[in-house]
Amino acid sequence: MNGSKSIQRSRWHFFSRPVLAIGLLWTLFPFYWLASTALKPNDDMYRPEPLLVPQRLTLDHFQKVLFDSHFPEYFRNSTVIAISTTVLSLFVGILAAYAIVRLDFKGKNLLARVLIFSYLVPPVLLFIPLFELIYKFDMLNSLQGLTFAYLTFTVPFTTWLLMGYFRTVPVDLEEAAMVDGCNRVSALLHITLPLSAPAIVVTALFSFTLSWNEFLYALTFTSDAASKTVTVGLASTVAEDVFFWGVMMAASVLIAIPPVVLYLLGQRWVVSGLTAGAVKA
Amino acid sequence: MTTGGRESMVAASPESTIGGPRRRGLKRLLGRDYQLAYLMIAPSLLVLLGLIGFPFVRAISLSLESQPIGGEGHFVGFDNFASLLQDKLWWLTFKNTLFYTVMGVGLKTVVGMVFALILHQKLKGRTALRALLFVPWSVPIVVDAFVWRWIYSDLNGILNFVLYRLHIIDQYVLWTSDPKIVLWAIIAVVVWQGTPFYMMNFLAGLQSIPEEQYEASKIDGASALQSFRHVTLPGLTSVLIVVTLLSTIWTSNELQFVYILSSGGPAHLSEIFPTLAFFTSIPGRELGMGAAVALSFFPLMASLIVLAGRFMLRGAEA
Repeated sequence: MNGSKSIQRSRWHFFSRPVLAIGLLWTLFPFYWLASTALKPNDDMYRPEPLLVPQRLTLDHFQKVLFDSHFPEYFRNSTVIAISTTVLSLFVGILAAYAIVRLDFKGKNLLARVLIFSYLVPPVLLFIPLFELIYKFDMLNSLQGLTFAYLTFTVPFTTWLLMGYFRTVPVDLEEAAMVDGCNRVSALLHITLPLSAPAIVVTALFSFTLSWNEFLYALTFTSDAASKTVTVGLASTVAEDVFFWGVMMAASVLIAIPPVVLYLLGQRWVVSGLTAGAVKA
Repeated sequence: MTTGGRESMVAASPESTIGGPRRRGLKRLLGRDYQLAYLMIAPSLLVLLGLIGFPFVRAISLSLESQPIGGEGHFVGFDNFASLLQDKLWWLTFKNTLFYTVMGVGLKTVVGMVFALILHQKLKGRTALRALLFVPWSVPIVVDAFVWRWIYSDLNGILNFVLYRLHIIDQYVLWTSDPKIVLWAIIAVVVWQGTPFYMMNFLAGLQSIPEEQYEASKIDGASALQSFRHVTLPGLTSVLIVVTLLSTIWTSNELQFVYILSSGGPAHLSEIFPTLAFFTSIPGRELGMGAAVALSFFPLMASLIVLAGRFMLRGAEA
């Protein structure tokens, strides 16, 4: 029996190593190509035989992105929108999640249900009426308009995640504090919130990256450089230049850095976070 | 319990008997903490009703109107839907979306499972490998899509060059404009980007299967395939269901890959519902027809949302 086990194991290893190698190559080559394109001079890029290994490196494309394009504005817009969306949805989400988990009121189960279903409603169903709404309130091409639109996915998501975490904070601690004269709000502020600090940080990371990466709403609700975000800014660069790939890839590198760093930091929580706790490790 | 005790003590004290019965009645009707609770959920209700509920209802009413951007809308009943059903483009889009979603989700499930099983072994540098394999998923989709558009580029693209040099192709392929290839080229990118999400979830699921079950199946003389079928798969059922349901919703509604790689072309051969809804409503300026396109896909979507929502609620209550 031991023998057959080791045969199985070695057969599996024999199969799995090459597959893993191909998988890594497939996964990582595009990023190598992204980085090397961003660093290659134009002369070396548009030739009949592309250079797999760049012969000369240049920072020209990055310089162009940072000092001779609209990207600094796009970065500012994306940062402002992602931060305000995150702060607003944390405020809304913490209050609602606490009420649903700890307080007794009619309709809380219904609210929990509505939250999960609205998390699943795809933006494709909402972007047209939201466009009309934002148009009527004269908020097209404004950072506020986009922030409001982003709340449609960050609020249900934030509330749902925080509900899960608040449930794990022992209720006895709050009860003890309230026997000592704390009211609900100060119990929330002084007991539950500090104990959920890691969860709140993770929720904030998620909400920031979701907003930073968003595309459809930004594409629909903004059309000038003063209000475009990085994602839509990147997509609109194509039309501006014939030899644009160097600049595109340099901008792509810069756009990808914040979410990649945040995900690597929050990796441990990413899995349970994205299915909103539906899949338990 | 504690608060209830305190408050009912107050309610029972003599000075609160004025108006007491009515408030107690409300309390019984609306719950012990209704005042504070309704105050706390008010902001989220504002978002849910104002930014999701109202727009959703408006999407339905828009789909029954002819409403150009900035113009007067008028009610047309089901005309929009009727003309969609007679439109070859709608049926082509329907077929494309189905193919794109089924292939995308199916391949992501299989590839994600293979890599989860590989990474579940005790490998050297497993943590680093996981982090690396996760990168495509953490990068903004728009970046992923542009990297691939550059790789697929007809003249200067690296894919054509490498495949030609390796004699796998004997002439350059138009990856995103050849009618026979375009959807496959897009699906490849979808799978490349989405597999990490599956892999991570499957890995988490694999780690939750107790080692004893594998040992027991070995003692019973099960082969590797048999223990995969009778221990691993049953242990992963709930993860598999939730992940594929969520991913079906997300994959079929993601427009960035198609928008950036092919714009739905050539001749709409890679058009899917999200891109058709966008092109009809915003560049095409027909909000009513656009809403009808988005909603014509909704019955299918709604059943997926209800199913996924049920599983997620069950997971939260367990």
